[in-house]
Amino acid sequence: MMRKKGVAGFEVVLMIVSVFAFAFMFAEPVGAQTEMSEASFCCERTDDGAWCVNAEESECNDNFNAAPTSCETTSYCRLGTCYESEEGICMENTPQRVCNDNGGTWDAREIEQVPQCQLGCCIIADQAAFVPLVRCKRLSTLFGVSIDYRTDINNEVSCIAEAQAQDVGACVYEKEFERTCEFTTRGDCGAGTRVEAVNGTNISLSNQRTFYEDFLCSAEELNTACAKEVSTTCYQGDVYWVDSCGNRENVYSSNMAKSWNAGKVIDASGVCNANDGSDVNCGNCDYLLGSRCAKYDKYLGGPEYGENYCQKTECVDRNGDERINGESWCVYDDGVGNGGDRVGSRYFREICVDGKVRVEPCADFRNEICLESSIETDAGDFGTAACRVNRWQDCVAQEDEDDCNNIDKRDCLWLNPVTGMVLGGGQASSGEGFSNPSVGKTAFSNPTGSVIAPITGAFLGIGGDDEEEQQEATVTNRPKGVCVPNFPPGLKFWEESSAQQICGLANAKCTVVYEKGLIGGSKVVEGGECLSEDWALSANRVCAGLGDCGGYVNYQGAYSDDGYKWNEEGEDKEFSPNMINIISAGFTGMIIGMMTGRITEEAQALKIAARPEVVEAQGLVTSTSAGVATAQTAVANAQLGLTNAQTIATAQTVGTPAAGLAAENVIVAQNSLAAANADLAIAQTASTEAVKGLAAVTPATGGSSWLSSTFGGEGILTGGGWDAAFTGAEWAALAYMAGQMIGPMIGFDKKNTKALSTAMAAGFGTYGALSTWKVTADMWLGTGWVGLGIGVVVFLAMYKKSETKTVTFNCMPWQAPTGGNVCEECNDADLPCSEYRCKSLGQNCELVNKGTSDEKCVNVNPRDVDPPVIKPNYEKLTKGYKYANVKLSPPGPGFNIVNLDTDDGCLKAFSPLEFGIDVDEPAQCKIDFNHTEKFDEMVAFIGGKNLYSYNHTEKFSLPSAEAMKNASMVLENGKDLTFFIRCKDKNGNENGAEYAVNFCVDPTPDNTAPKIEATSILNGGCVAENQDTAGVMFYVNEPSNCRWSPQDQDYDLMQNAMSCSSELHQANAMQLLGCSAELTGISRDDTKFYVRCKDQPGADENDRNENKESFEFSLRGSTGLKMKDLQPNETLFGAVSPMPIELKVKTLFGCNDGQAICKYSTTGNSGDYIQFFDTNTEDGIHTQRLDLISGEHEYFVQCIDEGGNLVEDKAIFNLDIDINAPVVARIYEEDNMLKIVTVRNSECSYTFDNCDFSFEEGTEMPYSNSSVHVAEWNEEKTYYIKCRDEFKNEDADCSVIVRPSRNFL
Amino acid sequence: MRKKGQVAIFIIVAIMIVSAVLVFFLWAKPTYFSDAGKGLRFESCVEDAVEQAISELERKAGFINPKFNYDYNDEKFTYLCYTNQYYETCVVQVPFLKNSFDEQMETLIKDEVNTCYVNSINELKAQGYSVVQGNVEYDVLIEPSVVRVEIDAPTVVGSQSFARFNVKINSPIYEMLMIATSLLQFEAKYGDSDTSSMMIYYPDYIIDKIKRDDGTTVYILENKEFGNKFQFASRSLAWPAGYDL
Repeated sequence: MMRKKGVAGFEVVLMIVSVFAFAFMFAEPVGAQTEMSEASFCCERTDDGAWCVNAEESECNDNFNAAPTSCETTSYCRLGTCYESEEGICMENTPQRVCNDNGGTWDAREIEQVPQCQLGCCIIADQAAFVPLVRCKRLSTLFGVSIDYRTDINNEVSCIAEAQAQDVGACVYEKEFERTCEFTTRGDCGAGTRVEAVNGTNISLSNQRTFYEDFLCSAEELNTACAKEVSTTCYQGDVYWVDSCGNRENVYSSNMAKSWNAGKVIDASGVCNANDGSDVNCGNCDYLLGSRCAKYDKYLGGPEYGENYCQKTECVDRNGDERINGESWCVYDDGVGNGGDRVGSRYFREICVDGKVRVEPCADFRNEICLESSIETDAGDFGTAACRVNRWQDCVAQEDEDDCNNIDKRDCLWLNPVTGMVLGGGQASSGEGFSNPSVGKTAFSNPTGSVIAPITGAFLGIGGDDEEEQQEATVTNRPKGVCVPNFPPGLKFWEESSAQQICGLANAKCTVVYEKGLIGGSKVVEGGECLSEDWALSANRVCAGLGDCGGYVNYQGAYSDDGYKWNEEGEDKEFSPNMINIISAGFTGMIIGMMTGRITEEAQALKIAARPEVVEAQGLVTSTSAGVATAQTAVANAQLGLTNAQTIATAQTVGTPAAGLAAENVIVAQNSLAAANADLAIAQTASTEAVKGLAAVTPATGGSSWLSSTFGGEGILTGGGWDAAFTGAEWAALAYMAGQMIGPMIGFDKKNTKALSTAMAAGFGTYGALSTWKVTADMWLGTGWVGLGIGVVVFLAMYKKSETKTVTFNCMPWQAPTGGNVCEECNDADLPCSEYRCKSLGQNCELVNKGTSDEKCVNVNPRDVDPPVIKPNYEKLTKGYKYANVKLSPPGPGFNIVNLDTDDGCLKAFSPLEFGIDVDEPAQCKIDFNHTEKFDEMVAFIGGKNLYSYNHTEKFSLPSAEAMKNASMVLENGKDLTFFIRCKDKNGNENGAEYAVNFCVDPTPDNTAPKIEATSILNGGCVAENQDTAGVMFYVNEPSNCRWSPQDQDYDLMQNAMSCSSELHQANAMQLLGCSAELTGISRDDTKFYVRCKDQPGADENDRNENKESFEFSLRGSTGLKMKDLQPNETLFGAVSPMPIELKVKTLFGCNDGQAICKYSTTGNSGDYIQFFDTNTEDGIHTQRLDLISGEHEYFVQCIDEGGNLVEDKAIFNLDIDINAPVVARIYEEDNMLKIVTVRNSECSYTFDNCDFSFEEGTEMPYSNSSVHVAEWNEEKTYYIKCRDEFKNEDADCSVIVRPSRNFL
Repeated sequence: MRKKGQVAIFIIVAIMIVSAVLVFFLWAKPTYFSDAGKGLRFESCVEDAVEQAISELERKAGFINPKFNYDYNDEKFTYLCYTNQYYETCVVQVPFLKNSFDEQMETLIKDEVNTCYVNSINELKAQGYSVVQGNVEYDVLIEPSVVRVEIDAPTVVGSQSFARFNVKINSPIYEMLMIATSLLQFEAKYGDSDTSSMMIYYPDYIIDKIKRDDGTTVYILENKEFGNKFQFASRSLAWPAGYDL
């Protein structure tokens, strides 16, 4: 009974503990979240421009609200439904301000509860949309049809079906004296319900619209102006004939008569069979068969009529299978599902769109999986696939197999139990748990204390015994099995993350117990299975199943064993090659029993039999059995002595001395027999108790039954000798206690102390029993030897020396294989790479250039000492040029660029040149005209990009040879030019020697005039007020001298010279050289300036080329920018704090009629100005909302326009925020009226009853929004008056209670 | 005789009328704005500006200078729906794409429209016309398959007055904005969208959906016929690696 209670109590406690245990498992992340929330603010808007984001306070835009809380709990970021009344669009999850600022109306309710967002069926001709009413109106307007909105249709499918069921036909009417027609629906025709039957060709003309159901507009009976089948068009994926009025007819077929169907509507299948794209003359395209209408863009083989046909849109997937248009399917890396997803693997969905396969990656880290199915069609299965969330998060919390395998709720996999694995009991690898197996006594401790302690009797306080306290038992909290994710999630195994916690859940520890007696060798009595590699494999199976943990493989199949620590009593172990093969194959091939460590019943029995307490009990049974046997022998001897004595006595004559002696001997023999029987009873009692003890510790074994049948039963103690038995028991008890004291004193452990105690109990018990039975000293002495012998035998049988070994399997985040030789496998063009995928390939793999088109997974091997190898890129060379004398670098030296169009191979001056280089690893590359010593000394990145990339391209315009001479460029043989290139990889390895790109520039004279390519101020731009000069930079394509003039005249006649850069190194990124000019005489109207240039400064005048046409440039002056109506400029009253106010200013004049950018500041310091929220508007009105507290405020405002006109002012205002109700200052009678005066403007009302009335219930006193309020003078009444201000501040009680009276006596 | 006189008078009158007509047409040169318009290319100038504006805006989710972007493939994708939290659906950043696109386009083409108008006026003046120009006001209307610009520019050319100019550009931007709105509605409600079914509904469009490892989804909506691309980003219902929060 007590045991049942204990079990029940155990279960209750287990349940409670489990709740906390799993709460703990997930407690840490939640804690992290809380921590983050506490540290973050809710920014109504961030500096980045995001609305309603939880972020650091520093990221919040100062112009918007921010509060140190989560956005969910703020008013200003409360989400609701936003609807817009023009287009009829409803949008969920929208903050109120975002909605209002975008012209919408915000509603705090869910979208389903907002009346404006209720969906209905909108019929638009033969189309339908399941949209709100306003949207339907808008669509009807846009498509020019009358609104047909049906609220009784409450789902989209029915809505579409309704549209498809629309009657279509010819809508005939007269227009401009012509009988014309529209092919449309009955409703759109506007003919009402009147449908005219067509009888032959006798159709009466009518000015009204008439609808002829199922007739084409070209039907001869209708006698319209529309001629049949003049062209084709695409409509809903099919090809249709179109009549001369532009009306759609039937589906296209080259058999025109069949398609026309005598002017009647015919179903597509009646025209021609569903077309899979193989028949260009049948317009019945079938999407599911892989065709859709498209324009035929080839010259031959097209449709007989028209330009549209059913285009075949099938694709071929990776397996070479044909896929039809719209079909989607999943693409996996190896090892999918069944707990075997490999590290770095990802799910992808591919879609066939118009003959091209498009890849759509599911969420990374396997947060999504791809599922696929198919729809049966006449042409076979039509595949559909979708990315779906991987529901792995609560798998480890499942203890029941059915819960684990409930695919409606989660994606989990049930594995068999692992001995010693306390799921969630192990501490993270970073903790002290298993970090040092030799001192791993705290293995199952956890940060919260005892919650996840091993679930033992000792912990629960029930059923514990000394044995269990003495040595830690090997247990698991998942005796039935372990639930792990079916698609293990990806983890950030390469950095500090939750990976440590997740993997640490699967730590396992096993205690192996060896025992050695005084006789014989040692043997394993417990935990033997943990010594096998299979145990570690099964632990690793669970470990890898939790995510990217343990020893496992990446998606390329590379195995890494850095994710576990398998330790056997201080010795680290690793999986054998055979096991690695099993792991690499996704744990396939594991033998279930071996793999899981499942304990069979037989093994269980053996295990139980091997447990120490059983051994001990068996020893006790053995020893007591020996005692019984001894006692039985004594009884038999006594019985024999008695028989002999009785025989002798019977032979003697009565009354003789011999007869007297014989009788005395008989009595002695009888006493001996009684004593022996008593000892036997004691021994048998001890044996029975021992058997009971063995039975108690040996459940579910057959031992107890045969033992009890052997030693149990009634009548054991019958037959007398009770005194001896009790005496023996007393001796045994005393001896046992003595043994318990002596054992520890002589250094015995508890187990052997028990052996000693039991041996002493047996020995002294036997002795006590026998000594009570004895009547002579000799026999008493012999009894002592018997007891001693029994005690020694029992001690020898029970004494054991135990040893334990600890085997641990520490589950840690998986680590990528060392090196990085295969990093670039990730750059497969077919499936996109990601940081996670890249990192799984090698320790040295790193994703570079994130966010760019050059995102690459590269090897950043720290031991890589080789610089990038450079070679020319042939694809990037400008057409008409070629590379020559190509040498790779290192050793180099480089290559030449040769112009194929010139005899000497030189490049034309000022002609664009593009060339590229490739490197064998992602690298940055620089280019310079001059020799340098190292990469950092070089001037510019090739192409201006500092990305680590495999290829780099430079593009520029060549200067002339002369110009280069003047620029002191390096020239060889008089006209060769050299660029120098160096590259540097991620490890900092750079080319020691420069890579040289040589070419020569055509030395023939330059006959081209310079060209102005750009200006620093926009042509036609504006300058500030009172400014009639402006410094402008003109950018020229070659070194030149330039001049300007207000008149269009020759270069030489122009009086105003410019200052021009003529050195090549002064060129900007566009290879343009600047010429600066101070233009004067700028008037309010457009002032024109004319610029001309002459190239080759310093050259002979005859060789120079000058512009024959001027570059026309204009500027205009402006009036000053004016600031007007800067508000607020007075005291504002409010009742909420902080109070929203609007800082507003209008700008006038200036360059663009007041358009300017305004900023505000509270200090006036130049660096403190913040741009207005609404500024640079065409109307010149600038606004900024501010939430301010009570008091005086000063805001500096400055505005500047395009021309630089600056205007400044400041707004000084006071905020009087009073959250109290207005106070009544005076009450008096005037003109026979009761008059009260409040301290500020307010409104008042009164009753004659009491103060328990709302303001609206009272009688309003004239005048509202004033400080004076009046009521009738009535001395019979008491006035209960309440006053409130414009912000509705009012007291719950009356503001004043007045009884009019003129009698003050 | 009297008849001959009458005939002569009729002939003289006829000659005078014909002469007057000839003088009017050949010497007085009445200005028809339609002719002038053709010569000025005002509408085509605005058309170019609008087409350029559409092309520029649609790649930036309808904003001239979007601030809140996600970098991908050397391009900036504006977040139209965003949360930086895990396990939560996004907060709508721009609820009505069409409205914002409309406003931004009006702002973007303002200078161009004015320049077109001024150039037209200058051209007319250069051709010798007497021209009185007025303030240019315009309205952009985005409708299915077209974008209209209704320009109100009171102009007097010679003796004739003109006020309204209408420019119409064929563009699928309305449909693209509506499809993008639909995608956003899905993102805000479910944290994801089904592009396959959208492509079936709208066979003229290709919708590329690229999920990035930080939870951002990049959408590229392309019209097959025009090649227009409307692109934006969303971050909704993102999941961390492991239990990271």
